Order: sequence, then C-alpha cells, then structure tokens
Amino acid sequence: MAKILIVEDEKAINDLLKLNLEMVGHQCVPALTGKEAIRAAGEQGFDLMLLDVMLPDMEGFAVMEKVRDVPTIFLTARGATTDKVRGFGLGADDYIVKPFEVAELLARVQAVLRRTHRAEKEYTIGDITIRWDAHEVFQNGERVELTPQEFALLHILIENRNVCLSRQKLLSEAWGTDFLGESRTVDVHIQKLRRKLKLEDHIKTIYKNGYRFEE
Amino acid sequence: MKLWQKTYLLSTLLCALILYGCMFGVTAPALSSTVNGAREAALREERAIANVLERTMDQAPEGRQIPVMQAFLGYYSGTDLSFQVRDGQEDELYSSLPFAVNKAPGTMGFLRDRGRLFLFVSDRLPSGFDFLYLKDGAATDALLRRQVTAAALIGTAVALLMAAALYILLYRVNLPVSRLAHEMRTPLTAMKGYAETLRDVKLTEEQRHMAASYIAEESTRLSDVSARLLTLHNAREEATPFGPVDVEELFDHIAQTYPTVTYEVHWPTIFGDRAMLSSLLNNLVDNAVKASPAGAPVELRAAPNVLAVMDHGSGMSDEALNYVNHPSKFKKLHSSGGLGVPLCHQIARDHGAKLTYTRGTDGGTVATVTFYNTLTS
Repeated sequence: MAKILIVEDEKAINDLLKLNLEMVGHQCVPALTGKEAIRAAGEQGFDLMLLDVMLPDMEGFAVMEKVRDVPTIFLTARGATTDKVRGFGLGADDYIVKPFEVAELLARVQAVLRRTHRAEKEYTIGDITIRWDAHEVFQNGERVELTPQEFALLHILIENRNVCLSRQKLLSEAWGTDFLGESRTVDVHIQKLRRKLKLEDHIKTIYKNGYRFEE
Repeated sequence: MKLWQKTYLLSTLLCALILYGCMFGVTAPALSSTVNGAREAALREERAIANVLERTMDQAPEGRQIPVMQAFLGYYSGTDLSFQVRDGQEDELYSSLPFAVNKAPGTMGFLRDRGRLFLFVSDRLPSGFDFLYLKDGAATDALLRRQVTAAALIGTAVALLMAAALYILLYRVNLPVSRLAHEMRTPLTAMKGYAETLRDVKLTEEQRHMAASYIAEESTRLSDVSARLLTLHNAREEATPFGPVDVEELFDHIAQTYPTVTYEVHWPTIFGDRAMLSSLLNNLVDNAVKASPAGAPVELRAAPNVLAVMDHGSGMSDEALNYVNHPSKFKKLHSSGGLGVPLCHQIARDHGAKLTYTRGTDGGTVATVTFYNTLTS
C-alpha cells in the first residue's frame, strides 16, 4: 500500500483516480491546485505523485520543481510530445496520456512503485502471507510451492485487487505480450491457484469479463 | 506541425510565387522602356552632334578640318560624353575615351567597364571618318537599379502583409475548434474512466452512484460543447437567416429553464437569429444564476435597442470584468468559463450589437447588449 498525492484540477478525474487507486489498497490525498499540492507535500511524505500538466494556478512542471524526492507520473493530453520531453527532463518517472484506461493507470502506478522500491513487500490475507521479493507464499506458516506462472498470476490479481482483469490482460501481464497462449490457459491456472491456496472465495469469475481478486 | 499550419505555408508559398510572377510581369516592361528610352536619347544626341561636327568641318578652311574637329569635340571634355574619331585607315585623329573601345560602324549598345555602364553609338560620317560616341550611363544605371529595388521591396512588403493577414485569419478560424476539442477531452476521460470502473471494479452502492452521476454530469458537459460547436459553425459560416424574433417568447423560454428569472419586455421584436440570440441570453443568464446566491432573482429586461441581464450576486473583481469585456485581450481566469464569453461577444457583433458587463448599483453584475445597427423592426 502506497500513499499517493493526486494533483488534478478536474474534480471528476481527481475522484476517478482516487476511487480506483483506493480500490487496490492505496491511500490517496487529492489536490485540486498546484499550491494545494505543494502544501500537502510539505506537510506529509508521499510514495508517489500523479500530476496533471495543466493546472489553473500554475504549470504542473512548476509543482514538480517544488516537490522533490517524490516519484512522479504526470498526466498529459494526447500528442503533447514537448510535455513528455520536458517532464522526463525534470525527472518524471512515467506519464499517462488522457484519456487513459483504468487498468493501464494501475499498471503504471505499480511499475513506478516497484521501480522506486515503494511497492508493498508483503501481503497477507486470511492465513496466507505472500513475500513478493522472495517469491514465497506461506499458508498457516507453511510454504506452498507455486510455479512461476501461478505466482505471476497471483501477483497481478492482488496488485489489481477489486478490479476485474480480462483473460487477455492476465495473459499479457503474467505471461508476457509475446506469449501466444489461449485464454483457456488462464482458466487452468486460476483453477490451480484456487485449489492450492483455497482462494475460491477471493478469486471471483466475472461473467463475460474475466477474474477479480476480492479481499 | 498542425494541418492548418501546413495549409497556411503551402498557400502562402503559392501566393508569394504568383505575386512575384505578377511583379515581374509589371516590372519587365518598365525596365525595357527605360533601356529603350536611354538608347533612343543616345542615338538622337549622337546624330545631332555628328551633324554639327560634319557641318563645322565642311565650313573649316582647307587643311584646317582636323584641328577644327579636335577643337569642337574638345568642348565636350568634362561632360558625360566622350568621342573617338578615326580616318579611313583606322588612324586615330581624336580620342577622349576613358578606355579603348573597338566597335564596328553602324552598331550601338551598352558596355560595362569596371562596374560602370556606358552607352555607345558607332557611326560612319559622310566625310568618311569613323565617329564613336560614348555616354556615361550612370544615370540610366541608377534608374534601373531603383526600379528593380522598388519592385523587390514592394513585392516583399505585399507578400509579408498577405502572409500575416492569412496567418491571422487561419489562426482565428482554427483556434476555437482546437480549444473546444481540448475541452472535450476532460469529459471524455471522465466518462471512459467511470464506465470502465463500473464495469471492472467491485464498488459499493454509494460509489456506483457517484460514478454514474459523474458520467451523466460529464455527458451534459459534452453536449454543451457540441451545442457551442454548432453555434460556432453558424457564426463562422454566417449562414444565419435573420428575421423578427419575439422577445417575450424568448424570455419566457429562458424563464422556464431558470426558475429564478423574472423579466420585463418593453421592446417586442428584435431582428436577428433566434437560435443565436437564445444561445447568447442562455449563456448570460446561466452565468448570472451561477453568480447569484441560491434562490436570488435574476432580471431580464428588454428596452428599445437594449437587452440586459442583472444579477444580485457578489459582483466581479476588476480583473474578471476586464476579461469578460475584452476576452481576446486578457487571459482567461478560470477553466470553467470555456468559450462562453468570447462566443457571446461574437453573437452580439453579428447582430450589430455590443456586449458590456458593468457593476450594478447593489454590487451585482449587469450584462448589457446594446444594438447600434437599426436592424430592429
């Protein structure tokens, strides 16, 4: 779980980001203006900042210069290449182009958190504890053997907990985009995961859509 | 580079080419007439001098013809003319030429020496002497240069003016569309995001409600942008058929949308476009209602040649007043204002009217549309 500062002047989009990030377990602080963001960053530490480039009171880049040492993903309009160049020049970690897909947003947030070593190291649900770095899963203190594929699948499901992921998405995230598998492969691995870890109540099948990990 | 900028560059280039072609077409006859004029003048002058020289030599005592000729031509030293006379055996009898010239008799033309232009006429006198006339063409040269420079300068100036005018025109035509396109992005992002969230995320009842409300709200915003695009299109194409508009009916329609609106009509009919006037008043009233405390009345008045919208809100800052009165000169203050105010000004202008915002007596804001052109019934 990470603490994320959301800087976006459009309340609808700010709420959208907050809703989705909180769903997967992050803690969010919204800021509607640049000044608000700088104040919030001065008062408390953050693991990540989502920053809109166009703010009513100042440019997003100016906020970035003031708020140091917080990994930043900035939100930009399609095709604004100069924005991207400028953002990366200032040390941004990634950018998201509006309009974005929720799944893509979550994936990028996770990627930056992992890269900056701010992602969660351990996850516990019921009698299961998972150590992400060591690739180890324990149930009732006993180690459960998972294949690398099963582990990757579990990882992506828990990272996007409460969010439904399509079979296609799971294939590309857990097996890699080059993998020419069938969606049946996903179903088989999900069955194995459910059986091995007794996660039948948590890994839900969403009709016509995919799978969702629910806490 | 944007498409309209490419179009602009291409059309400017084409126009500049055509323009320079025209300038060349106009300048070339002028230049050739300057050259021909100089040639004819030189030929006339040479004939005259040659005639006088011939006669002077005829009248000279026998054996004194050469010295008389030399003395006669010597008078011209210090002018822009110089001469050379040779006898039939090509022996030089007289020369005041600044440099050697060898031209067959019966020819004429221009020649250059060390950057200077000269005109020559080579002639055979009836007495058998070869007579060469040379005129310094500095004046003609300068005239030619002036003509070419003037043509180039005028061409460049016209091309620049045309390029600037074209740029301003295309910029004005294309800017609002790009701005509107930008304004559509936020509602689109929100709607897409909330729809995906509703589809994929396990939400509480409250969260579902919030997501759905946002989708509804943002779609209203989108339809607002679409309405403005349509109005903008009409304003741009000037495809607005003007006709008598019933003010009472117009006001009544607005009062139905905004319950706090009261109205008075002392000007029954305006000559204009109903849809555009309605859009203008809706915009003004919408802003007035937003600026008013909840439930406070907004007044609509129609007096001869004047439409006014008054609110009893807290009024606008000087900065905001400046913006709404001159939206093209000042930077927009809030992102929410959108294209509303500039569009209102545009509609007013199209009706031969002017939109002004002032502070009301009680501190609220008054938006007045004053019609100057008597397009009224």
